[in-house]
Amino acid sequence: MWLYQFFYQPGEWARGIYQVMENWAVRIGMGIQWIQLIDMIIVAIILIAFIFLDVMFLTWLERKVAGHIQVRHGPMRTGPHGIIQPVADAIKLLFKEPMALPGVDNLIYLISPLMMFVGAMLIYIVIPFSPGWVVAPMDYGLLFAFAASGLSSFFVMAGGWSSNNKWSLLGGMRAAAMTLSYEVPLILAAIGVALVSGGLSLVGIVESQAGMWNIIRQPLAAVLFLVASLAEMNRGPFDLAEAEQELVAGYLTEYSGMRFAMYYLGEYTHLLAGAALFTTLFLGGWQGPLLPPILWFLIKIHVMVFVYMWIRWTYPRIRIDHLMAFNWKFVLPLALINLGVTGLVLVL
Amino acid sequence: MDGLFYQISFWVLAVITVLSALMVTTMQNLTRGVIFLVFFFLGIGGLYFLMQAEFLALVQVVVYAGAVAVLFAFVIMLTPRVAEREIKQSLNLGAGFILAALFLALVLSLLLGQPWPELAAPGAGTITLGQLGQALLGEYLLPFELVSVVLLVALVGAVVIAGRNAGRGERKS
Amino acid sequence: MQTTHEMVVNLGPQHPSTHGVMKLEVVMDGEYIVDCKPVIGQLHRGMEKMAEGMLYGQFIPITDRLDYLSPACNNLSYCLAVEKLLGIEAPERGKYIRVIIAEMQRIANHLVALGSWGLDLGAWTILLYTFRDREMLLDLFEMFCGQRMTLNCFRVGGTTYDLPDGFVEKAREFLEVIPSRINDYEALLTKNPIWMTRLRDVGVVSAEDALAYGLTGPNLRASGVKWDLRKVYPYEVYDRMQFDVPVGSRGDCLDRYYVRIQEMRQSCRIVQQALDQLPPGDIMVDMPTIALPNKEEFPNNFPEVVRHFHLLVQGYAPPEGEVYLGYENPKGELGFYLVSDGSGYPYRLKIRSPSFINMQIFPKIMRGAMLADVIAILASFDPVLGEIDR
Repeated sequence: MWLYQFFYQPGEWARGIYQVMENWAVRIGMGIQWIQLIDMIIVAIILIAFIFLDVMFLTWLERKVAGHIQVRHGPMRTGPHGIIQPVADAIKLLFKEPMALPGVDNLIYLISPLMMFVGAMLIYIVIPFSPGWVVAPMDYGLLFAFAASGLSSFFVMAGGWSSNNKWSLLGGMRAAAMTLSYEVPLILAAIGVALVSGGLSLVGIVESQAGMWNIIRQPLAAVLFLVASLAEMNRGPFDLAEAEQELVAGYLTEYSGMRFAMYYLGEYTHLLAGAALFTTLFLGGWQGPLLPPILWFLIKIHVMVFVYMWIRWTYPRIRIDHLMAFNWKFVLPLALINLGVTGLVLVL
Repeated sequence: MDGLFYQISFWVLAVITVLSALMVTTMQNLTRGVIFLVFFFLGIGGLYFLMQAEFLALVQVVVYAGAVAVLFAFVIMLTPRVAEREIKQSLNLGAGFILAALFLALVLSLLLGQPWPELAAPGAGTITLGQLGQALLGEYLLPFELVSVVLLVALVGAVVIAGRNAGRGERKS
Repeated sequence: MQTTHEMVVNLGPQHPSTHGVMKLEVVMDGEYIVDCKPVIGQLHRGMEKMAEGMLYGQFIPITDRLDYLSPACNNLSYCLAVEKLLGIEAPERGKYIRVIIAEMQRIANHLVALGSWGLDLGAWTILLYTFRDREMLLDLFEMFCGQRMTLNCFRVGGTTYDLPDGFVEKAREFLEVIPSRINDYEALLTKNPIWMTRLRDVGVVSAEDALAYGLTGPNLRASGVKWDLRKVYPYEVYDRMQFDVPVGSRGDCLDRYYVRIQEMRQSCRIVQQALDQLPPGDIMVDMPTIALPNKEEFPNNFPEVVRHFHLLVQGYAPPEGEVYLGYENPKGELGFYLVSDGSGYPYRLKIRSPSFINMQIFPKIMRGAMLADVIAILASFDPVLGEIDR
């Protein structure tokens, strides 16, 4: 039954579709490369569609979660329980006037939101959504995810600089410094998981959690990854880059309309990617009884997104020097200890 | 997927890389130069991917594009009056051309004189991450540790120099 | 070598973490503040000059707009000053009602202070929690005098309105709910490591400095000086109430936070005792030359109408003299200095506003702090521009 295969044996279903397309291509005489190209394009479209839909849902979810934590409803008027709110936001942003600011370095100003969004989206191509449903099953998937996330953080700073605004620059540089600093414990915590699973491949990591999820085998690494990923995503208690607006100006100030929308979406894409990474590394990815794996995956990443939002709306903001001190004096040594202990336990 | 895709990818990446490198060297605005440097590193990373050196490509992106380029950008943006300064191109084009031509001749003679091996098929002779790790901590342990010490020295030196400067420009309280 | 040049940053007057239209010119050297100059006056409305053209009773609504977050306390302070000038006292029930409303206003003020402080530091949720509780208080005020914010509820000699039916029950309901809510805020903030790191040892004011600069209110008490006008010069019925005065020890922002939380609890105690001790009786002093007549008697009682007319057009004339009265506002000591020349209009009215005096210490304590601390310190002093600019 096709439907059953789609849900419960997604790998074979994907292979089956691919086979069908190849046979069709051979039959009509089209080169195999062209059908591979069309395959890649279709997969890309599906992935981008999924990201966009989920990210739009996340913007709605953020406001609802914020509302309910703050003893109010959140958006209620646009559609039932405000579900059409993201569409309304998108339309509003589309109609905003794109300002041509004096002194702005146009090339970098325009490229930065795009590249930041691209960097965040690149993370998704190595995440296993289901057994067999990985866009790029690389042997070094984990490292690829961190490379992509580091790339997007550079363009946050570039965006801040190109705005020709002293304070955007400062905000952008602080964001870059924070992201770079927290990448170290982030990667170290993830290496702990890689040690336990025996490889950097995300597919391998998920499959190795069939018995026990890594959050039990590597609890300290899970907590450290949670904290470091909050800093990576410029979120939660670590959002001083954009909340500089409460003091002077954040790196987003000079962006309006669709360019702001790009940054905004890029942030939520990064959030979802971070949640997906956490799920893959620590919560067992698509593992789970009874329900189809894709459903388990979606449930888990949205639970993690909810946890991230919960943290954001509960805690006040942390100051930049406390943040750095916290990283170098607390999180990093813990990550190193975790790595050492894991290594020791594995050797013995 | 060797063949058409390989060719297309190679040419696209090569064009990006060479163009970015050209922009970096000829761009008068330093910060734009750094942005193009990032694209250059990404292009090189892509080329490494094409050569089946996945780990090297990722390390290239993480270290170079993600950290070294950010470092350059910080230096440029934090040093006052450097970001706005436009680097004047030297007008001594003649000497430049002669030197460039000499260098090109040298490199070409080296390149064309050597027999280049065919790019190996994937899977045959590729180094796995495990082997790399074993080599680093086994055969090449001493160079690895020496490099770490060099980095540590650089780090400590930078902190000391910066600390001394901050002491000189101390805030009045 | 590279010399860093100093940058001047303007915080305000339009500003998200606003406590009003205040401009802080901050001179920064890198990350640290070298100097800080508050520029005020954008909200100046000329209240003190206006008072010279108004009858004593007419000025009460203007006092509402001084510290617009605790209008009842401003009213009370002014009414007490004029009563001192006239040499009269409100009747017992009037005093108790005034104390009840004023202490509730103190709770409301501290709720807003806490909420906006959390908002400035990034804890957005706490604002909505405190405003939810403040809504209960605003409902009580609306029951009492019909207004939520600019209460205008006290008069020289007592209050115009008596506590309506159901007020005492509703107030007791509120008092049952609020302690657990304050515990919630403490649970959310007090032991929160981020909150503590942001506020511990930030903006330290020593006791000597606090006294030298004339700080009053929670800001003074957080620096270790046990000075509460309700205990030192008890007015109204405060001498019959049992309450503690929370005093801090370090004078940093965290102590100012603790003091305000504890003051909310003590105010609940006071309101509880006042509700228990509430006597029946008059709410307005029984002096025809000062108290407005009862409107219900109007259609039948022409002399009262004439008296009403006289009082509202001519007013009463206190004897010549000058008086100063300070009252413990939620923000500090709000004092009115009145000079009377024997006519119905004050010769001079000077308002000693606590936020204006508290603000003088800003340049001193902000030197050496980081820009992020400026917001924390500003919020911890709880200034309000209505008071500063008058």
